Amino acid sequence: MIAARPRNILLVSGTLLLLLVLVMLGALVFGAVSIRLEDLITLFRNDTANPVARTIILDLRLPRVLLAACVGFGLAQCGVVFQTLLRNPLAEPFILGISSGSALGAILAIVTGLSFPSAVPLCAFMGGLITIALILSISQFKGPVNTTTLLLTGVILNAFFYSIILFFVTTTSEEKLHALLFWLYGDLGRSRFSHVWTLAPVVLLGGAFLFGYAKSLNLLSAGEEAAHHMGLEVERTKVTLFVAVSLITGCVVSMSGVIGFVGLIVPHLVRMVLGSDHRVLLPSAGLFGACFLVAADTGARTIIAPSELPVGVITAFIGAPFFILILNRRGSGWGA
Amino acid sequence: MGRLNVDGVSFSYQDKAVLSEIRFQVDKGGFLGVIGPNGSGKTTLLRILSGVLKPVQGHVFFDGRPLHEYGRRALARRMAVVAQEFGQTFPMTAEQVVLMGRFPHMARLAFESARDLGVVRRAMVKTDTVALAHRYFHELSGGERQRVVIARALAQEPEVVLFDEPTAFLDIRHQIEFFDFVWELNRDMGLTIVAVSHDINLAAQYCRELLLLSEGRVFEKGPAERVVTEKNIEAVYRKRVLLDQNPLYGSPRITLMSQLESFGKE
Repeated sequence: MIAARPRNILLVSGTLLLLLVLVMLGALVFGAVSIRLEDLITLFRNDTANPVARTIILDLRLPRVLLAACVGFGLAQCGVVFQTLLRNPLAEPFILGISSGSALGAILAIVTGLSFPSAVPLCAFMGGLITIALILSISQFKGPVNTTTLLLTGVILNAFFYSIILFFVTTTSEEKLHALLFWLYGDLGRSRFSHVWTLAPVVLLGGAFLFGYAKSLNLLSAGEEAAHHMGLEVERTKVTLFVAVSLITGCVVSMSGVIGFVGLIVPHLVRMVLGSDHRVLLPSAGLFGACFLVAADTGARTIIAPSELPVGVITAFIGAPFFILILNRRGSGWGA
Repeated sequence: MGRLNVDGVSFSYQDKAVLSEIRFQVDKGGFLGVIGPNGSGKTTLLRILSGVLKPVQGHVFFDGRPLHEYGRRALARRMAVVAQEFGQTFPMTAEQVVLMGRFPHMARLAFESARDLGVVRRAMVKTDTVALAHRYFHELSGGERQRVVIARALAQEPEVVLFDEPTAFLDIRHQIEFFDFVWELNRDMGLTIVAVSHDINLAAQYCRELLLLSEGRVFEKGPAERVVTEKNIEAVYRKRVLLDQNPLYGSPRITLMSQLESFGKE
């Protein structure tokens, strides 16, 4: 628990940024082909020394590590905001069904063979937005949100989307199958620098925008009517924030596929250590989320090297037990 | 013109009329207790006074200006509300909860200034919550939570504070401490107070004026002696009560009577 003073926020963010740099350096070094840290430095300096290592590190691993950081940053911050907006510690893009809605959008684009530029990420993005509209209309966003209805809505949307997705997976041609699986389990193995340059501004500007609402989010965590009494335009703030996190989530999922539980685990770990003031929580969760996903992705490509696991497998493996843990802690001040 | 003027306010949920033609005024520095049976519209009236609900007809004036012309922030700088229940979704310390009260006074990206922290500190001293500052809000007892939320309301530096059923979940010690405290706020700081209460005796003892609601209408308003009479209470609550005077303070006091003829005669 730390007080939300500017000095503390800079200190915590600085520390986590340092951690992120270290984790990213580690991620660059480890892999099916490991290199020594000294070689990494010469690699950055010198063009000609080792062309194979250079390709592996700079063209394959570097964009992947950067993209993992962006995705982790975005998912964790969206998790924080969803949880506060819906007053529910279990809210998260994956559990709400937004991620699978995006995946369905992407898969439809692949199967129907849409070929205009960025068709697949665009459809993923639209799929996410449509899902959010569905969630809001089903669970009656206006007024107090019913936790059970909301979680059940997510469960049902997930089941529904997956039935359609499985239909396509079983009927599609062999060569498209791998592309479909990418969306289902979340895979950062196809990262390019172009993805990084698209997503980095979204999550960074999005993060700055959300930070501007940190105090409003604190008020919302005290309840909507209380927030109203303390001077917050509740409905307008909720809609603005919901649109913002939906857009960020849509962008993130359209680059990475479905990576579940990051938005659940990271916010809670950070809350446990640093407290729930969003001025501390938002930047810290973003940075820690980046560290977490870079580490998880490094695990995904090293555990059964030279083969790779989808990173969503790792996050779900850690996240699902964590979900049960949170569920049991409810009523002790967490979303009671 | 008083601090709060309620001018012909009506309100209905769907087709069900909850308040009709409510008209009253609360003077600057007033202390009004709103009493009435369940479903008489007390809480709805409070939510209209705080701007959460908009009246279907009529207006509420705050210092002569219609309530809806105030922005949320501008209103929150002058009026605070202490609700019946205090939810807090994620663990926050008592101090963090009180800091929220400074929201309407701060620029969007600003952090609490020395003055903001001073106001928060004084609010916590006044409500005797300094010792709770670093404890988690959700781990506090009901009475402690209420004091923290009152500190948050005071941190807004309001001129008017509205209370919704403040003693509903408190034991007698905390009930009396609550009313003593609010009475002092009213007397020493000149805060205008409106409190919805189920407890007719406590309300009659402490409030300068009472408003008796019946089926969404003002049945009677005035000093306790005029409002709390056998006739009024029987007409509104449909139950006979025994009325006498509080032996210490002379305020009207009701005693509930059993419905059973045989009760008390065995």
